[in-house]
Amino acid sequence: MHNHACDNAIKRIYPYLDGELTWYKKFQINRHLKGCPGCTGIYGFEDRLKKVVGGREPDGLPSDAMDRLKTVLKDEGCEGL
Amino acid sequence: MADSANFSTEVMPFAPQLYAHALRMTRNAADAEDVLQESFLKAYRAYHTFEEGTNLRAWLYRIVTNTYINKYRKNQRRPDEVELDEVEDFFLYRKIRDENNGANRSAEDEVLEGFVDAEITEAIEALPENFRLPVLLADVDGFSYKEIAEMTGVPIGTVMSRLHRGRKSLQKTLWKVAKDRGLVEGGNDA
Repeated sequence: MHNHACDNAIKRIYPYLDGELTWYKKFQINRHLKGCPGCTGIYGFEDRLKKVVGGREPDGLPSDAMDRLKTVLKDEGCEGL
Repeated sequence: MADSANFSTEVMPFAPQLYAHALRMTRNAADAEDVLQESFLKAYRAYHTFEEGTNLRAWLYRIVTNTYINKYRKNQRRPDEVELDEVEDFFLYRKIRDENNGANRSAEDEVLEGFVDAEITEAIEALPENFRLPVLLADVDGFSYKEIAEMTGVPIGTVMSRLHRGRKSLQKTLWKVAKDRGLVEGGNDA
C-alpha cells in the first residue's frame, strides 16, 4: 500500500541514510518502516548500495610519495618529520 | 589557535587518507601527488589559523578539495554546466525488482555483492565532476551536507540535489555493469 507516509519516507531517504535528520523525523520514519515492507525494501537496498560505494579499499600513499611530501615540507621549515 | 610545531604529529597522520581522496578526484597518481603536496604546503602555512578543537579532518579535506578544484577546474571547458540525463528514482532497485517480478533480496545481494571495487570506481569516475565530488565526500568520506557545501563552495540545497542526481546516474551505470557481467538474469539486452 502506498500513502502519504510512504511519500514522506521516500522523500527523506537520502537525508535519513546520510545522517542528516533530527531524531524526531528519524523516529517517525523508523515507525513507518516497521509497518511498510515496500519502503523497508527500498531503504535497505539504498543503505547497502551506499556501503558498497563507500566501502572500497582506499589506495595507499606510496612511500616514495610520502618521502617527497616530507622533503617539500622540510624545505618550508616544518620540523619533526 | 594551532601551533605549527605540532604540524607533523597532528597533520601528517592524515596524509594517506588525503592522498586517497586526491587520487579519487584526480584519477591519476601524479596529479594526486601534486594536489597533496600543494595542499600540505597550504595547510602548513595556514596551520596557525586553524582553531584547535574544531574538525581538523574536515579542515584538511576542504584544503585538498579546494586545491583540486582550483587546479583542474580551469582546464575544463564547461566546468559547471554539465548536466545529467533524467533517471528514475531508485533505478537499480527498480530494475532488479522488475527483472525478478517483484522484490527479491537474494537477487539484490547477488548484484550488490557481485560488483568488484574497480567497477564501482569506474562508475563513479564516469560521473561529471560536480556530481562526483558530492558523492565521494558523502558516501566515501562520510561528510555532512554542510561540510560538503563548504568544501565545494555551493549551497546545501545544491549539494543535496547533486547528490540525488549523481546517485541516480551512478545506479544507471551500475545497472549496465550488472547486465554486462551477468549479475542479473536476462542476458545482455540492456
